[in-house]
Amino acid sequence: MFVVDDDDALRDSLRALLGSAGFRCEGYASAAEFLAAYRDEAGCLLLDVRMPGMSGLRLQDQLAERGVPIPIVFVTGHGDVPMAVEAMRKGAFDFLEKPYADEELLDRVRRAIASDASRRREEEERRAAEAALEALTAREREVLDCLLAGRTGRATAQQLGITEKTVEFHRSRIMQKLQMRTREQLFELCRRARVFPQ
Amino acid sequence: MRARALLQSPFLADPTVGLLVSIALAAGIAAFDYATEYRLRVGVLYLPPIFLATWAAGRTAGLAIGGASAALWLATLFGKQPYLGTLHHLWEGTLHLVMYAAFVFAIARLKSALELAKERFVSAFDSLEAAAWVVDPESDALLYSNPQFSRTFGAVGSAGGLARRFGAFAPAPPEGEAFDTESGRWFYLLARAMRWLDGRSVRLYVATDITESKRAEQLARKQAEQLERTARLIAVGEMASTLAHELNQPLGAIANYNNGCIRLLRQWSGAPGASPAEGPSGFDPRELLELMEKCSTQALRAGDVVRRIREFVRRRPPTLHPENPRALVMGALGAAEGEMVDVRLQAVTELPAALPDVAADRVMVTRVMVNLARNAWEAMQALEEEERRLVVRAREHDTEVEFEFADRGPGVAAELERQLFQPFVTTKAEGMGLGLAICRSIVEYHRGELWFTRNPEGGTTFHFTLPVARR
Repeated sequence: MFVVDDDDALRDSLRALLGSAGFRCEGYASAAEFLAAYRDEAGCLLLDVRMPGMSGLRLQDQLAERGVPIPIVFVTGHGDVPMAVEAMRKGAFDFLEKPYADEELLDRVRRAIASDASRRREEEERRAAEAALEALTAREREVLDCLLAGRTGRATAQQLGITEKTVEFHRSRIMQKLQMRTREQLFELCRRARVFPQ
Repeated sequence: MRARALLQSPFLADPTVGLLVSIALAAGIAAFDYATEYRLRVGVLYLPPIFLATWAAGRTAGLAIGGASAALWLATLFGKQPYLGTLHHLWEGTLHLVMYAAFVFAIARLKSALELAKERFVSAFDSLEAAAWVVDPESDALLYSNPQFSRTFGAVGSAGGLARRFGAFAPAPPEGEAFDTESGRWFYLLARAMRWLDGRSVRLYVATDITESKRAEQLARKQAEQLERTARLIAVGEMASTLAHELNQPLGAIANYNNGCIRLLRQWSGAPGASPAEGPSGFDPRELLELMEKCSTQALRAGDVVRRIREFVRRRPPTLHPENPRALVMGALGAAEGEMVDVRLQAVTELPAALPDVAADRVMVTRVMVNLARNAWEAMQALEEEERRLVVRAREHDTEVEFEFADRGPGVAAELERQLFQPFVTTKAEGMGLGLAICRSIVEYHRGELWFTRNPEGGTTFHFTLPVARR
């Protein structure tokens, strides 16, 4: 995980604390340093709202502009609550107000990392499902669409102008290519790949 | 005194009475002449009735009485000394007639001159928007008052009564600002000694209502005080919050290090609550753990104390109103110029015509802009006068308006860059280093941001954003 804080001691202490809880932690003294170094690694970002140069909120904007989905946990001083609210509104994962108990911090970091992991897993599944669907021919995609729309074999045959037998043939090819045994599994795959009936 | 009273008596004021009295007088003189058998040449005795008639009833009446007087005089003369001869009578009659006519013309002229003077005086003061009045200091009488006077003070019997309303015991209220206890308004009183129409010396007073400007003055003073107080409050709040922030950082670090240690110790001595093995030198790690936990508690407690201090000096929340960005900039530049002695701020503004209103606390945002303008100006002190130029821009992003204050100064030193907004960091000989820290606090209060960039052509630009006011 990543810590961006301009205060050297605080950054180091966070690394020590997070390290003791088993997190591998990289610290950056400024938003610019982090932006230059970050390469879409998994984890979460612990970010100080107030920093000289680029503030935490600006960094959040920059990350959003670049489409970087890393979850951000903001750390705020007491006076910065309106900024924290603003950060949440812009889609921050969570925020922590100083002073905080270590369990609070670790709990939020854990949840942020879990959320990142599940997002990455979903992303992975989506890519896999998409790749699998790529293997289908154009005709097979048409049949699949009809299947998703819940049409019967006969209706599908009529719509596509082929015989019911051919539809059945395509259907079994689809199941075979995607290595699916049941309809439910097929539907689940399509949902992950964001393929929906038109 | 008596002559003056006589001039104002009804004989002279009322034409009918005056005419009747003058006729009676002329008849009496004729009778007297006849009775004394014209031993004395008392033609001049007719002058008073002629004067009376002219003054009271005008030139024509005067001429009539004059003609009658001449006739009466001639009649008495003729009656007593008929042997003088026709020529002599005619000569005497014509002489008196001409003398009386000349007298009538002179008196009529005098009267119209006096009336004209009065008319001029009255018309000048009647149209005045200030209350004006003339007082005879000897009798305390109000000789004249214009229409505005009664509108302002109502019915006033005597000059003394009016003076008492202004808190003066003498009939003459003092010059200068005076407060009317009855109407509750402020006046500027002006008193001048002058000669009245009849020649006596009187005092003319003019009272101008200055309540509004007095109020405006008080309001301006109050606003200036409030601005001052706000600035001071912000400064105090900023100092406290800075102190708190500065303490919170190391406190947070201590707590983090400590909690890290506790975790490591627990891992080393097995799961929390499990019976730990004896340490290498025979000490029980649980004792150490206990002490470190106490340490953590104290670090948290210190953090809480700091937080309470901050809450205690909590800064005034901004009162947000929709404000026009252009008006904000212009007002602030004016205020900045006013604060800098002997400086003409050369500011170029690049403000789009149609900027949406921003939600801002005008007093606070003005503070920010004045600060930025001053900083920019002070950064350009080394430049030639014609090269010093502050450029103020504003532009709209969808939900924010961004303001820019660009200077042509030497720019921010690299070693200062990281701590520019830190409180108590300053490059100025006399400065607390709170200016930019306060600016940032204020902007963040508005949910905006303050940052700076380097200009490609040299100098620094400070940017800050304010949210667009919701309609």
